[in-house]
Amino acid sequence: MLTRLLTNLTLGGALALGGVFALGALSPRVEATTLSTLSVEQMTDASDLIVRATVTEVWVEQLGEDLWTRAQITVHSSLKGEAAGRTLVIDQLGGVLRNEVVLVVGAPRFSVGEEVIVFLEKNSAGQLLVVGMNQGKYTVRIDPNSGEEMLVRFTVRQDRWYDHNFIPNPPVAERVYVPELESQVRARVALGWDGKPIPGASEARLREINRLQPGVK
Amino acid sequence: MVAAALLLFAPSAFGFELTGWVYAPEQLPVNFYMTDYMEDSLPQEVDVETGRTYQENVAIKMFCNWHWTPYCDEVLPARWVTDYQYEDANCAIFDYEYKGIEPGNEGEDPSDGVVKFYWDDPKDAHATGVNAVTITRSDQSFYVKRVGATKIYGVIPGNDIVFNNDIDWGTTEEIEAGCSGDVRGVEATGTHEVGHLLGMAHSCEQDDACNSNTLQTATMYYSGGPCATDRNSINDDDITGITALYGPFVRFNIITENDDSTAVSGKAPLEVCFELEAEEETLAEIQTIEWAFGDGETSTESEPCHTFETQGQFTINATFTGISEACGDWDHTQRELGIVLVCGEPEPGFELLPVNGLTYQSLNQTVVDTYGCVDGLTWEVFKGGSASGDPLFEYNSWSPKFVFEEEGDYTIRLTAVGPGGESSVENVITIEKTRSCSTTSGGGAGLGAGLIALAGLLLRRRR
Repeated sequence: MLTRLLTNLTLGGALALGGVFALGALSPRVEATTLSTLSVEQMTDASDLIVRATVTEVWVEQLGEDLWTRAQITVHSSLKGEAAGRTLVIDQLGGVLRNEVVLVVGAPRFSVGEEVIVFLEKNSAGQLLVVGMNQGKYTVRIDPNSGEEMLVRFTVRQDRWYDHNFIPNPPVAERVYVPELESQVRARVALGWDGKPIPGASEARLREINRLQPGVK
Repeated sequence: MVAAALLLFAPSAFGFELTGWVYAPEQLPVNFYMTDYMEDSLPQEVDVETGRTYQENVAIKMFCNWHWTPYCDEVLPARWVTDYQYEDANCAIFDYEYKGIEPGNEGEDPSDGVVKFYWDDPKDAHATGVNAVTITRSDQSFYVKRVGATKIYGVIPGNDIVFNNDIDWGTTEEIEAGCSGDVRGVEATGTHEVGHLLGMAHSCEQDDACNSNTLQTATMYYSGGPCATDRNSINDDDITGITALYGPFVRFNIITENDDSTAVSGKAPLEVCFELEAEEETLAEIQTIEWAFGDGETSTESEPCHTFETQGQFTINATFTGISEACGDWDHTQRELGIVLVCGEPEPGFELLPVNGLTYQSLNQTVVDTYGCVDGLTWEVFKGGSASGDPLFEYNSWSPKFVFEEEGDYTIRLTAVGPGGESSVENVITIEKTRSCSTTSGGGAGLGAGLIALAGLLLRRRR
């Protein structure tokens, strides 16, 4: 049943899942989310860690009532915070486990072998979450024309097939490259938080994890 | 089951998509409660006219924005009724009732069957940038047949709406009076979430292939941008969606060999046939049907077949008009997002770029414009100028880096597979230690070099 569900969904884009679920007595839990668009600077300020890493394992686990998708990463370098060489686990609410489906659409997806630059924040339970859902996750891919490392943001629903190898390339004119993002992040980390609120981040936390720009009290 | 996260910056002309859940008639009215947390960015005083807080009144208003009932006139402040009553989904039939504040705030739990509004993300499960979330547990063991034989909607036993903390919320009146920064309209955001609660999901644009980030950034129309009220009203797509769930509705299915399939994929040209599903009386009410197949072609037949000639993921729209006794003229467009995936043969391509010494970086130029049309990849490396015998090595990562042990000619074959078939490309590469490589059609004698895949993962991912 589950295999079939995933196959249908993979092929179909956005589908009316009702027909599929009706084949069995599932109890899916779904979340629909409203997001704020975050700039790179806002994501940098909201992050405890910004790392470049390789995904080594992805699995779904039931924690309490909820399903969480967990991605283990090996960190190569840090743009904010100290994590180089460490193994971390990123948590994302939602996933598919046996015949249980929990969707948080817009959530970042990971696959083994994927090289990523990811903006991470720690919640009160100590879990590492991606800032702004998929906004805070970039896949590093070799530009097929120039050979430079470019960044791709792409996600699909958690009940669909995801393989970073086959995600679409951004249009040439819209491509962003790793050095651009890294320098933007480093500059922001060096400059510090500007004191402006960021939706979903407390002022106390922003003060705690950032230096303050000159003039910010 | 379908619900897309939304970013509030996409342009207008959205369609709707249905989540796959619905309140059954016997579940109505939707009774909802409030937790006792007071959000400090919102008015705190008790409204003298209603005896309720702003948070309570605005939660009622979030429902009334979708479908105005006499209950709204009875319980909302009179000024809200006169100033902020919009067009609503008058052909939809559902009602709701606010049941008051329920003490305690231990955390959302949609499975308890009680609709609650939380204002402070009590589980701290929502990261920066998330404004509000609707959490639904839909129990498929109790379902209703909304229309037809195969489209079955789950009944909602539980729903919660969770507003994130540390959001600068504003009232509609405050935002209309002018604001700056990232003040979010709580009424607009919450109305959007109530749309989810009732069964609305997100969509993509009319002609979008729905396989790009656009799908992820699309919304139902009603939503709240920063300091913006331009979309604080229900639009035709919203009305269509709610009417589809709670009013007269026709939908279509694709006809496939597998009756359970809700999508189709295959190699171009691909013929797909469509059939209608509706209550008998609704079918009798239909006046016109217009089909748009997403590839620029249209039809006015009742149940057409259409051949897709080109690769793409296509969204099908069928616009129905009808006349019913209950609500007069009605019309809606049913949209099935990306249900037709048409693929040409994969188009693999690559070059090798010298990096250092005998290390070469592959540049994978395989066309992946349509997600799903390439779903497997194999690199094979052979000694010499032809792909004969067993490969020295094969692997399946996207852009592996090669380290050759010796100079010489190698044949590299890249094979891509997908719904449109399988195809390969071979290049004979002359590997030289200190100069750039060249791609030739001929081949010299191989030197029997070994090969090491540095970055290539020895992982074959299958669907």
